[in-house]
Amino acid sequence: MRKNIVIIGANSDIARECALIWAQQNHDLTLASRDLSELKEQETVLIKEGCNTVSSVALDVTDRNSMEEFLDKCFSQDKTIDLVLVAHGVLLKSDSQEAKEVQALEAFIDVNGVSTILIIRHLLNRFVHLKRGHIAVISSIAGDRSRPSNLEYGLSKQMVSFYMDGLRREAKESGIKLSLVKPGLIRTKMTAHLKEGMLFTSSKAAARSIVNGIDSNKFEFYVPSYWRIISMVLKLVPYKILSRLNI
Amino acid sequence: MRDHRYLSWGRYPKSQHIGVINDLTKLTGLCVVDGESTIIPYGNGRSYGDVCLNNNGMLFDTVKLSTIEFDRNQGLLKCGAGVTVKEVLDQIIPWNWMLPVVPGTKEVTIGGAVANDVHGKNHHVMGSFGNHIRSMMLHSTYAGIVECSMDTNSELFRATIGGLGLTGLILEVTIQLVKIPSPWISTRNIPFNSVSEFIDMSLDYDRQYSYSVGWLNISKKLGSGILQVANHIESNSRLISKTRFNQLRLPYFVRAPGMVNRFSVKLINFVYSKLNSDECSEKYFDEFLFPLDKFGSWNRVFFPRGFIQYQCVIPYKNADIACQQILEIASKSGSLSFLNVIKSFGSQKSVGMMSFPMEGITLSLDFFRITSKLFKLLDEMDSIVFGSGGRIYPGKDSRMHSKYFDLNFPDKDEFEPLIDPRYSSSYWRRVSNA
Repeated sequence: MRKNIVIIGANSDIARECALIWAQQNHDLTLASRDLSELKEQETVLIKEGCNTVSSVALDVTDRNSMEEFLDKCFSQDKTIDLVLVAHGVLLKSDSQEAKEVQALEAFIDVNGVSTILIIRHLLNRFVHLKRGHIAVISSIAGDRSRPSNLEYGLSKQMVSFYMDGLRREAKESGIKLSLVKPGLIRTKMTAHLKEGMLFTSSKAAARSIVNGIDSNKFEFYVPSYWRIISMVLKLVPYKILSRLNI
Repeated sequence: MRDHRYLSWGRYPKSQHIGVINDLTKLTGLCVVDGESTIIPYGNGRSYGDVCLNNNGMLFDTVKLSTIEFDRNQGLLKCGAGVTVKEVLDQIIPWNWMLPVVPGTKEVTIGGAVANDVHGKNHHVMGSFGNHIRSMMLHSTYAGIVECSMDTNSELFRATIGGLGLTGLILEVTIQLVKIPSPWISTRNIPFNSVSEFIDMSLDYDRQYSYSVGWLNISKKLGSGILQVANHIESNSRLISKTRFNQLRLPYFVRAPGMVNRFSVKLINFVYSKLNSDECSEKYFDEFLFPLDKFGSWNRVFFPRGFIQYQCVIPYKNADIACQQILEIASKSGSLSFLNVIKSFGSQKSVGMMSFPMEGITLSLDFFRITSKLFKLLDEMDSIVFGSGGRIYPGKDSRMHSKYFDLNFPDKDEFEPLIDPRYSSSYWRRVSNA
């Protein structure tokens, strides 16, 4: 079935690769991101790949009014929206000076946590009237257990995961599907500062498993799937041991 | 998402294709340039036999014909031929609309449903799929894109419904949906002990219930089984879409040959009959209408070497004796599998010239071991079917002899001139001896 897909945060590496796959599958895409010029470049690539229609919109998630305007515009069109992928996000390094500054922390949590939660709420409110729809949100394995080495990022992702988990019943009763994507270590702009290791996955492979996961209608899935086991261990490790590990 | 190796659901026969295209522009290009090879549309590969295959020819994969437009006030659905029944139901069920006819799996494409003029458990009320089509867009190599319906191009319309994809490529279909009180149904199971008992019972119950199907229990006396009937009911369940079972998806390499044998089949039959002995129950429509969809690719896992499904219909006046004879022959083969179904077809006439459903009793039998002995037995069954005025379902056939061609398609003289000269399938070449 040809789907009408909206991607928020379309310039992120994972979202780009997902868009590429969806373009090859001949869907309609709407891309939203802060940087419009980069989106325009993406458009031409996607059309070449076989995308049915593609449009791009500049969107700043911290500007609540523009966010609402954007969603109103998306949902006012005749064709209904089938899937929204919420993929925007930034990283705040826990060992950086910024993480200790209150204002920087506030701004970070606003972009990564609060705005995502508000977008999910906005989307649910609109999808309820359609009695269908699919919201996929990219969270992270970092949100599964609080760790000093990646505390702020983990906090923002924990917020998102927590909220999505609690929305499952409401969504099910109104015929809306939710997907919570939890990527592990993916080679992207965000992880460029980390040393390459065995556990890294390319964003292309990650995107493929995200698209497959969304198709399979599973609520929560890890990318790649073996991170589920790592996460399970991480959740069970007692604090005394965790505190001695340098993670 | 889709298995791109282009097999049919029965995985028998296998065939070689010289090319697969999925672009309409390429199709028009092909018609001008290449004068030799033929083509047949391929949807989701759920027909059992070789109607969707074209040995040494080309295939047109309908994957890109995937638009859906749904008017939720009028209940009109306009969708591309490559859209599957599942995708349609996901959109229309929350609004309490339903496809008038659905086959036993929701993985079939709408184009395939039209081309095989599929029937469902409600044939006695709604007829077959083609009876509910308002109009469709058809691409043929000689006339380009034409619209056809009962009023315009009605000959082509009637030929395309049940036309096995031979009249051209179906692009878009407009269907009138039916309103349902809710997606929930109440079902009732009634055991029967013989074919004649089934016929009497189903005639009786079909008047009260909109869905009815008989399941044959081969672990017990031949011809016994359970009649399952159901009606849509009002429900105050707050769930408007329900997926209780996530489809079981198994990796490609998982094979379990030999898991299905005469002992396990008996066991499965016995367990199933015990599970379904309760009188009444409420179910989500999925569980009743598409029981096998829970298991994603059961055909590959259990029947890696292929299997044969045999479906025939026999007019009421001969049904009793003929069905009993067929079942006796079938049980002799020792390879009867677990899903053997009996159902009575209603009197509603199909629109299509080549449609399979006719008033009578239809039998659908699964055979898991393909041997030369089985083919002999199936030929014996053929002679009983055609001797008593019946027919064989092309969508499930992979071995019917061409000598029965005239009997199977009584309106074939009307149909043959309407075949697109560039379209042909393995099935058609086999049965028409062309």
